[in-house]
Amino acid sequence: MLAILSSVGDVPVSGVWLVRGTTAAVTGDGQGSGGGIRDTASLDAAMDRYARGDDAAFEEIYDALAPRLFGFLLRHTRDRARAEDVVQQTLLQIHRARGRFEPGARVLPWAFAIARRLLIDQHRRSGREVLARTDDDEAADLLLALDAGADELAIAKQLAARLEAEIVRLPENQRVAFELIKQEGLSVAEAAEILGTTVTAVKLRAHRAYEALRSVLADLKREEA
Amino acid sequence: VSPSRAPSADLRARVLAETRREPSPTRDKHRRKVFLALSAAAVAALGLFFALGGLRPGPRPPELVAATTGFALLVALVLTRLSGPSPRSMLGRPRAVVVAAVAGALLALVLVALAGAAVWPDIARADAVGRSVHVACGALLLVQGILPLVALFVTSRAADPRSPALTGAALGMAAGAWAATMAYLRCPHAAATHGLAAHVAPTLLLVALGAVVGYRLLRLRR
Repeated sequence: MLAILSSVGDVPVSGVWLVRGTTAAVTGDGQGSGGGIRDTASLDAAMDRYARGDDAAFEEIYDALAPRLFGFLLRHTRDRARAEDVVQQTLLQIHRARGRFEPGARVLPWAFAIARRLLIDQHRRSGREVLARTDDDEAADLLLALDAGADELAIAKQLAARLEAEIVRLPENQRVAFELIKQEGLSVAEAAEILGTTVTAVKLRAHRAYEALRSVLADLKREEA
Repeated sequence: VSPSRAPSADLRARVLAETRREPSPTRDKHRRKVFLALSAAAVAALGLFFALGGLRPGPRPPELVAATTGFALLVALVLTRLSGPSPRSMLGRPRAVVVAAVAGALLALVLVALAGAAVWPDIARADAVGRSVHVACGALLLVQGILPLVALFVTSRAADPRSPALTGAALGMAAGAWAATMAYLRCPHAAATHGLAAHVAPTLLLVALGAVVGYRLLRLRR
């Protein structure tokens, strides 16, 4: 089963992509599926140049941040237009606040904290759930995209549904900590900064989420056996 | 990033066009604005302090003036440090740290008021302060605290994506502690009741005001 999941790769379907990211995290071989930048120092340097008045640096900031924020937001909204709207608002907030950017500060936690806040506000306004259900059409696209057997895909879909249900059931603080660390690939310190809590508290939350998801995987393995 | 997980090219064009259409202040401009706002607030608060008599020890011994002012100044410095930006972060300190700092600072100001009266009981006992004096002194502290608080809010508008109310409360506490420092310099009364009613209670009001106004002014706006 895990072989199937690891073969899914960066397939853009929210449900199974979620499983892929989650499974990699739960089995301990993943540091997140968010592509985008790994070199946060160059992003911080670009922001510093932008704060000093180098307008051209904003394009670098956009290129580094937008895909990563979009992935995070798309997972929460399952709606490209809404995710793009929040990405746009987040980047404009960063643009407006560039004068406040302190030399040596980190951009990534700041950007994620802004995006998260705007997302929460958007959900409050629209009265929608934070995690919508997986889009069946996108799942069908995935099935076409994968050259795998029907049984394997059925198992993958079942696993996706179970894990997604489990993630939705997690307490909000555990879910967000888990997503930021295991799926977005942020460090524990960065996640703590975004959530406004201590490193120890984030480790504990992520660990609890991790244990809950691992028990689901263990149950599924037993059922499969 | 797979194409389906990437935002559209159109979004990039829209965002870049928007940034060109609506330029934002650079760091130098922002710092100048902060400097001017805080300087104006400090000049106004100090002007009020000197206009109303400046340093007035009254019957208080210099040690009492120095101890109460020194403690209040220490609280103000710590709160100013903790409520401002933290190193390598645009998001400030963890909520628990800020909550503990605000609560600890309030407690410290209460202890300053009580300890002064406990160490110099004769002076405190002989100091019969009327209600109108409490009100006038407390009102002056409020005004001296509100001035820097307004400056801080104006320069930090829509800047807190995480806990605007808590940040506002911490700024209110910092502003209140600075005003309390000036109060211990200008106010000749040593009674514990006066310290609590006219120096600590208005600071608590500034914390509450900071939380309410901070929630409205410091949170992000679309």
